[in-house]
Amino acid sequence: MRWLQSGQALAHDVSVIFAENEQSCPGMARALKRILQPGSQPEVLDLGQFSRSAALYLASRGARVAIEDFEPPPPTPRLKPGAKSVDKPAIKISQPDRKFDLVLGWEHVDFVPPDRLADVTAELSRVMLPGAWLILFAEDRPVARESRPDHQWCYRLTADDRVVRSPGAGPERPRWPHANRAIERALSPLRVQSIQLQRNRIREFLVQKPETPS
Amino acid sequence: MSLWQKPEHDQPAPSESRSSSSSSSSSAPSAPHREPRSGPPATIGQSVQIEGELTGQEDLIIDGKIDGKVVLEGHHLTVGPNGRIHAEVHAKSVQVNGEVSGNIVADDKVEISPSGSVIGDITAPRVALADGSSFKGSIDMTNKPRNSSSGSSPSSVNRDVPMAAGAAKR
Repeated sequence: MRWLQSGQALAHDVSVIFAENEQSCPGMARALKRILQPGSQPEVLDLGQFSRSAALYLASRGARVAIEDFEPPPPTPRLKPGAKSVDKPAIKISQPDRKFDLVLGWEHVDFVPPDRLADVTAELSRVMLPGAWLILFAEDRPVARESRPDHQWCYRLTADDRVVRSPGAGPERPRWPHANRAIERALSPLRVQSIQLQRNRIREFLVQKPETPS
Repeated sequence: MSLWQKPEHDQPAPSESRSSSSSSSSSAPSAPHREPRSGPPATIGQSVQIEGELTGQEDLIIDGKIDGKVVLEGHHLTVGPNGRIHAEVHAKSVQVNGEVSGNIVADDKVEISPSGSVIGDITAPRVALADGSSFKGSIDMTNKPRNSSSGSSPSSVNRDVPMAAGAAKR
């Protein structure tokens, strides 16, 4: 019985590993097809602390990849009695304005508290060229008010349209489940081109910055 | 390391090429051209601190502090775990086990080990970043010929087809 249970657990683990392994990312493929043109060297910003192999993959495909460890902001502290305002910690990506053709935000958005989503996406938009792309991943979980502690996961690109997601080794941080509309609202005026639900319950957001400000 | 312990007759007869590599003999007037020496790479020890431009024609291990510029054309540079380099680096290949603050240009490969830390831009055909390594900067591997077969064929993706068909809107 114990062996059977172990076998069942193993089969479950294998299925989970298989399900969470290689995933199709049509949004990524679409963005890479646009930017990886012959003779061009697109600028890519990789915000993933645990996605360096993806950065190397894109560099080997001809992109110039900047790696930046993005620290998700903490929630805005509550207003103290008598205080007129609260100091929000600044969100700063140390890159110049309008530099990048593609920004890989991976699943950072899940670790941003709801009240800071718009601040983060505004900072992402700042470093994007007009017409540039943004890729985000987010877990597809029931929307809840409370966060839960979780690790950021590692992402590895195995092809232009294939991503392998594996457990990360970083510290646990609060992860918030955001609804599609909450993310879309925060991304405005960036335009969400597609939201792809993957087998492992991860949503892939393909976002584009308008060529002309609306 | 312990050559002094060996009897004199055990040492091979010093050839001109070997003797020209050492710093003491390379300054001799009879050695007009420095040739790369064979054997273990030269080492800059932990207590050594250099400010300025460091050039060489042999492999080098830096475990000390360098502030300025390091040029090892065609040779391998290893930054030891105690090495602290605040300099532009140009070599055939570079392995970073310590800290480098500055741009690295390599003709072959740059490798950052788990204990390594780099702040700067890397330009090399091959780059390896180990898990646990620290890197902030950009990677440019365009010296490598583009391999169109790597990855899936982008032509299989129709950019004009709306991708939102599989979207999970809620």
